[in-house]
Amino acid sequence: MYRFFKLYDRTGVFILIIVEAIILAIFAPHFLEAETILNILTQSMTYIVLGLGMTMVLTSGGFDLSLEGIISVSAVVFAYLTRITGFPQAILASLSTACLIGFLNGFIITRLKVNPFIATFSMWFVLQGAAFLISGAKQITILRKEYMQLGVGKTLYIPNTILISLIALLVFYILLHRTPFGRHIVAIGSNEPAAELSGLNIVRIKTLVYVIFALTCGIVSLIRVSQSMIGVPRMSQGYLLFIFTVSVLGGTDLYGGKPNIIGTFFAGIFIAMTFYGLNLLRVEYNYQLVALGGILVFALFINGLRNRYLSIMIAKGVKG
Amino acid sequence: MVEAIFKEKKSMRIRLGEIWSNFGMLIILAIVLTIFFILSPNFRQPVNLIDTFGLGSFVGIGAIGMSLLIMAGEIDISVGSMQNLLGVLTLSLIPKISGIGGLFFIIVVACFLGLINGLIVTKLKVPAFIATLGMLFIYKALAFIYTNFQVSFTDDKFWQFIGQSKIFRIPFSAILLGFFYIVGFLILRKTTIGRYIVAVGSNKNSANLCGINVDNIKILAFILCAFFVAISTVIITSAQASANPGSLGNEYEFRLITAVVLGGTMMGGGMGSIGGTFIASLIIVYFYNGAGMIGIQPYWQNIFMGILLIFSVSMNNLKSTLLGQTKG
Repeated sequence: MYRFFKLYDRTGVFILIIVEAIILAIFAPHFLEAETILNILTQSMTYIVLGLGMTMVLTSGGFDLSLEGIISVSAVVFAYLTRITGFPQAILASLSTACLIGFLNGFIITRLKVNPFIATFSMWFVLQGAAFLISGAKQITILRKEYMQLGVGKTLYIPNTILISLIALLVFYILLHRTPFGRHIVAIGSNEPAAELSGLNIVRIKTLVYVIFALTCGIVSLIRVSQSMIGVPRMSQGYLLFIFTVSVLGGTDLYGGKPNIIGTFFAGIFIAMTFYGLNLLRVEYNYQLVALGGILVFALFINGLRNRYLSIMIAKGVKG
Repeated sequence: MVEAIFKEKKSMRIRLGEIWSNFGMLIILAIVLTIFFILSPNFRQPVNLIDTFGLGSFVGIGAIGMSLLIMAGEIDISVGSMQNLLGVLTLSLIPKISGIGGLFFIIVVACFLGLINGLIVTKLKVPAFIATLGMLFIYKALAFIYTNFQVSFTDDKFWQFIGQSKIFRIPFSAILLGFFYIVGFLILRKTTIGRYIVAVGSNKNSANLCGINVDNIKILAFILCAFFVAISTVIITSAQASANPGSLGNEYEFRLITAVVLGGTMMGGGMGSIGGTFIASLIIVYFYNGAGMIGIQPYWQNIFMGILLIFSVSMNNLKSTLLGQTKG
């Protein structure tokens, strides 16, 4: 049993991807085409980048419900500023807005000692309101075509979005597994009082975690704006569910301290593939949402099973 | 000398904390009411005040269940879409099963949904907010699938009586509100279930060691929460005489959680009061009503509400520090 969970941690999602690919190859028309696979990889970018960020936040023992709000606000800020200034300034302003929001989240959680649930939950509504105010509740179209290159263009024959998700994978892997900062995050997530007693600056590390997560939201929102060429105050509705599903399915422990970066990466591809496949099968969007909720419950089930098993093992004194 | 100063300072701190915990909500309510009294002539009409009280009871009643649930240390963010699903289901069935049948139906279905939420959270051992987040989307999608975005109307006399009628100029829903607050208060303070809920919320492990079935109490709290959501759904669909799958229950979870937390109930459970929730839900109801009357955009209303929520939680934490309580 222990081996099973160990194996599942490493390869579980990968097996799910293969099973789903076989099912889709049998039932869905046009699935086994190069373009389909390329599309899936392209679309998985949002899930992968945000999922990796969320994995990091979950590892630190917190979570962020305000991600839809951050994406909306930075998209709207960007679209609004392109009317006034050039692209570099707008990109910079949008990303710094995202970072500022992340800092605010971190500040409320660490300094005001508000529970992360309440803090980010109310920030979600505050930011959604702010996005509507900035945009005047309208879509802002971006007039200059050249910006589209970022989201749909290619560098060295590889689509930019795939490059971005690979870079994100690399960055987050190194960040969590190869740097002191990553060890500190894991330490805080596993046992916060102990981490504090051993001299870690909890406030700074946690704040930084929320800032980095907000930055990933900002990047994703820039790319999504570039793909659709409009800034919408209700960008990315429902993403909260998708991103949590990605992280949980990837095998990251919800109670903190156990990241699974590779798993998250493949879970992102799995979710993108599920959506694409269901679209190929002409399933209505609402049924897709139900399916996704089902996947989340399944992933939680596996997670709960593993935690229960591990706690029994620990109680018996068996070390893994 | 030094001791005397220390003592003086400490008692000052404790006094501040006590003032906040006893009268903080009333102070905020007074501020909100005063501001709108000055700014809006329509707001200060007695008719408006009474009607808002009645109409707003759907927030107040839902908040009772949410208080009990948060006191048990869990949370349910699927209440908004649960209300949506319950509303559209029941209203579409009322022509067949009549208003009274609809009332029984909505309560049974709600308790069933609460049971599902509770089972997922307790048996799969997942954090409640994430499990109910998944259920939020499932309920919403089911409501959309079921109705295909059609608004359903009702002209059932019994159903409309609940939310629209008045007895001696007092809305019937306001009477219901009062009744259910007394029920909620009695559940929390005078029954073993209430004591168990508080015990489970303050320390799960010691409650377990005392022989309380923690899982069952938590599931019961989820069911109670869903029950009060059902009652509030009856009131709101009756007042509107319709159920719109696109808008019913939107932001409802936000209002309920704000009401509960503003009312001084601790996130994480074990501490809180039904009376505080009552006053906090009045704050929310009058705030939205007044803000609408003086023409503040809805986006600003949500921003204010979010800031108020964060502010009140940090005040609660400050209070705990002042009073020297550790649990936060």
